[in-house]
Amino acid sequence: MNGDFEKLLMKTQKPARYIGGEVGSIVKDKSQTDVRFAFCFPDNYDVGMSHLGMKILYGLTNSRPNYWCERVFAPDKDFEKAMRDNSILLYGLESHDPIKDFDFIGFTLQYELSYTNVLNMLDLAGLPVLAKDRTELMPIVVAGGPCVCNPEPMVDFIDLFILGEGEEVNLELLDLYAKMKPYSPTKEEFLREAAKIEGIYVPSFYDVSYNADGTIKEVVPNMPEAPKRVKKRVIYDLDSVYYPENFVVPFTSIVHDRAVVEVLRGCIRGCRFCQAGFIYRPFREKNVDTISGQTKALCENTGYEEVSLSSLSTSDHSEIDKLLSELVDYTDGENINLSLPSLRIDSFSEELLEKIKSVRKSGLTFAPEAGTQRLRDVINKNITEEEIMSTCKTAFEGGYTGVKLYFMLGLPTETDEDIIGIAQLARRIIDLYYSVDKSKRGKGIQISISTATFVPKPFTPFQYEPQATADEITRKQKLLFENITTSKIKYNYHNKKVSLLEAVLARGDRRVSKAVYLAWKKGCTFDSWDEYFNFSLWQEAFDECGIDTGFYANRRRTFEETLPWDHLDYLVSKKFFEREDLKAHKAETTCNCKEKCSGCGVSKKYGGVYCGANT
Amino acid sequence: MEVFIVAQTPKNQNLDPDRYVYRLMFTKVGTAKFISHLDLVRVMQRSFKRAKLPVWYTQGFNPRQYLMFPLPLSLGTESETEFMDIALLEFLQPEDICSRLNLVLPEGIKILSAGAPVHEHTDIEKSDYTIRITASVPAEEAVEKLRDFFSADKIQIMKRVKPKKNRREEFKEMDVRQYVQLMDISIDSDETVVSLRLAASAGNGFNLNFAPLLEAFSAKTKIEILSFSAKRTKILCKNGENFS
Repeated sequence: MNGDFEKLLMKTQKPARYIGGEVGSIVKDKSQTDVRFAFCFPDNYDVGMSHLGMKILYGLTNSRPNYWCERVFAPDKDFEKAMRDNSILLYGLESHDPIKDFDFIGFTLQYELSYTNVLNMLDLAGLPVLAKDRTELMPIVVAGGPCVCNPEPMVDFIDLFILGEGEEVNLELLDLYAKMKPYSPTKEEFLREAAKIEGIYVPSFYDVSYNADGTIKEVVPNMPEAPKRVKKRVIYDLDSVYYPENFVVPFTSIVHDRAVVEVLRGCIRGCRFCQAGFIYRPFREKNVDTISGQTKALCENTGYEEVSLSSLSTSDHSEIDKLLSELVDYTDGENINLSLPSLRIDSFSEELLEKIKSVRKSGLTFAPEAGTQRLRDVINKNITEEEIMSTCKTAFEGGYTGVKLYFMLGLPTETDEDIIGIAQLARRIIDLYYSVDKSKRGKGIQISISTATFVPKPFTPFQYEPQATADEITRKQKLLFENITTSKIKYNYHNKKVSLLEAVLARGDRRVSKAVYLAWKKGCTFDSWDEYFNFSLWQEAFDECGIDTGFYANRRRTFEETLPWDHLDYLVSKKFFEREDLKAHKAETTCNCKEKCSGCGVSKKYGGVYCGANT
Repeated sequence: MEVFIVAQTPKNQNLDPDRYVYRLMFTKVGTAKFISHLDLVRVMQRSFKRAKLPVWYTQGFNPRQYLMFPLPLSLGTESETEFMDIALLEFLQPEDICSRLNLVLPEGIKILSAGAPVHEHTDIEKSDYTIRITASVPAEEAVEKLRDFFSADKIQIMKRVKPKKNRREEFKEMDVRQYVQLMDISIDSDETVVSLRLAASAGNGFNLNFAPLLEAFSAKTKIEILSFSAKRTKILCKNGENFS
C-alpha cells in the first residue's frame, strides 16, 4: 500500500473496509494460480460481508489451489469520489490488484435495487459497462443470485448468468475456462462452450421478438450450443456439499457480524407472493450432525461470540428439537449466543423450553401480511389470528409491551375492508393486552404497523398480477391511517416509488436494460438506500427510452402471454402457478409440502424431502 | 421472529474465582492502524476465543470477556507500545499466552510480552510519537516552519465534533498548546522526509489526532503535507517511568 492510498484512507469513513487483511481472508501467490475470480457484491462492505452465499462460494473457489477468489464491494460515496479523483481502479481486497485484469468478475444479484451499483462497479474497475464493448476474453462478467431468475433487465451488461445454486456449476465453469485459456479462445468461443453447461445462460445467444402490443412474441436461441430452456442448478445432497469451516472475520462491525450455519434450503410453505418460496425449491435439509459439526468448526475458527442458523423457516426442520438441544449444549458451554431468525417459538416442546431458559427475543414481530383471514387465504399465508393472539398473550404475560406487525398493501383482490382489517387487528391486540392481569403485564403497550407495497415477482403465482398504482397505494395508506385512532399504534410505510421501480425491474424484459443504463448515467447508484434513491432520474431514464412503467408494473398478464423469463426453468411448472393464481382469486389455500404434495412440478430426483409424498 | 438463545452465566466462572490478570504489550503497525479502537476490542476478543485462552467473563446480564485498554490509539496512528489487561482463570506462562495469540492475530498486531501489571492506568501522563512528513517545500524550510508552529503561543486546530444523527458533521476550533510539545525534529538521510518527535499529553481524556494538527499547520503556513505517518513509541507515567 503506498502513501497516497493511505492518505486517502485517512480521510475515509471506516477505512478498515478497504484494506483487506482480515483474519480468514485468503492470499495466494498469483504466479501459482490459473484463474482469478473477483466476487463482487453490489452494495457496500457492511451489507455485502453479511451475505452467506459469498462466504460459501469464496471458500469453495479458494479450496482449489490453482483458483483465487477475492472479495470486492461497492465503495461508499466518499471513497468512490476519492478513487475517481485519484484514478484508483476498483481492486480485489486480498491482492489490491485491479479487477479488470482478473479472469472473471462475478456479481451476486440479491435485489433489483442493486443493479445500478453493478454498472458503477464495472465503471470503477475501468471496464466498459456494456458487454458488447468488452470484446477481449478477459474478464468474463458473470452474475448469479435470486434476481437472475429474470435477468433480462441486466442482459446488456453481463456476459453470462448462472442459474440456481452455485456450488457445482461455478467450479465447472472455472474448470472449463482453465482448460480453454491456454489456447487463447475468443470470448464467443468460450461462451459457446460455457452455454453447454447446465445452469449457464448466455443472453446474447437468444433473440427476442415482440408483438405489436409490446408483449414478447418469442425467445429463440441463435447458437447451436444454447439450449431452448436453461434449467437452474440444484444441489441434491446438502450433507455432502461444500460448506466453509472458516469465514473472513471483518474488523469493522457489519450488518450481521456472526457465524452463520445453513440448516435447510427451500421452503414448504408456498406463500403465493414469495419468490424465495418457489425459486429455492425443493425443500432439502442438512442432518443434525452435519449442522453441529459445521457450527463447532466455524465458531472455533472465527472466534465469533454469536452463531445464527440460516434458512427460510428454521422451525420446519424435521428434527428441530434435537438440533436446538444439541446446539444449545455446545454454545452455552462456550459462551456463544445462538440466534434463530424466522422461528415459531410456539412449536417448541416443553422439554426444550426448559433447557433454553435464558431466551432473549428481539421483540415480538409478526408478518401476517394481510389484515383479514380472507386475504391471508388469498396469499396462502398460513398464520391465523388465533396464533398471533396466543403468542401475544404469552408475551404480554411475560412483560412484553411492544409488537411489530408487517403487512403488504396492494395485494390481489384487496378491498378497503382488508385494509381496515389491519387497524382492527392491531386494535384487538391492544384489547388483549388490557385483558392481561395488571400485575403481570408491562407498562404501556406500543404496536407498530409497517406496510410495504406488494411487488409481483417472477416465478410466483402472482407473476401475472398487476401492481397497484402509486395513486391507489397513496389512497390505501391514507385509509389505513384514518382508521388508526389511537396513539398506541404507530404506522410506517415504504416509499411507493421504490416499490414501483422494483416492480419494473423484477418483471422487466430486455428493453428495460437501456433504462438501467441511462439511470446509472444520470447518477443513480445505491438505489436501495433512502438517502440516495432518486426516482425523478429513473423517470427521466424511462421517458428517454420510451418505457411506460405501467406496462411492466400495473398490467395484468394473461396465462397465454410469453413472459420474459419463460425460457428459464426453475423446476416449478407454469401450470402450477396458473392453478395457484386461480385458487388465490377464490381465496382457497394450498397445503404445505409436509402435509400434502401440491404437485408444483419439481421432480423427486432433486432430493426434496417431501417431493411426491402423500399424493 | 428472531429469537436469541443467550449464553447463560458462563460455566467456567463462579462468583469469586481466582483470576490472573496479565498486562499484554503489543504492536499495531502497518494496515492494522486502520482498525479503530472499538473494532480492536472485537478483534482481541475473537482472537482470545480462537486461541482458546481460559478468559474470565464479567459478571452481569451480558457476560463479556474482561478486557481493559489503558490508552486508546487514534485511527491511522501506528504504535510500538500498546497495552491491554486481560484476566484468565488459570495461570499460563507469559510466553505461552504470547505465542498462542500471535498465531491467530491479524497482520500488524503482535503481542510482545505478557506480565503482571506494574502501574495503574491513572499513572499515565503522556506519550511520545514519531511523525514522518513529506511536504511541498524543501525539507529545511519545512523544519523551520514546523519549529515555529510548535513554539507559538497558541496552536489552533479544527476538531471534528461527532455529528448527531441526521446532522452534518461539525468542526470546532480548539487550542492544543497545552497538550503537545515538540521534542526533536530532524531530516532523514534521504533528505526529503522530516521526522518529528512529539510528546502529547495522555490519560486526561483528550486524545490528540495528528491529521487535524497537520491540517492546521498547512492552513497557517500554506505548506502542503504530501504524506505523513504517525507512530506511538512510548507511554510514560507521571514519575517518568515507561508504563508497563
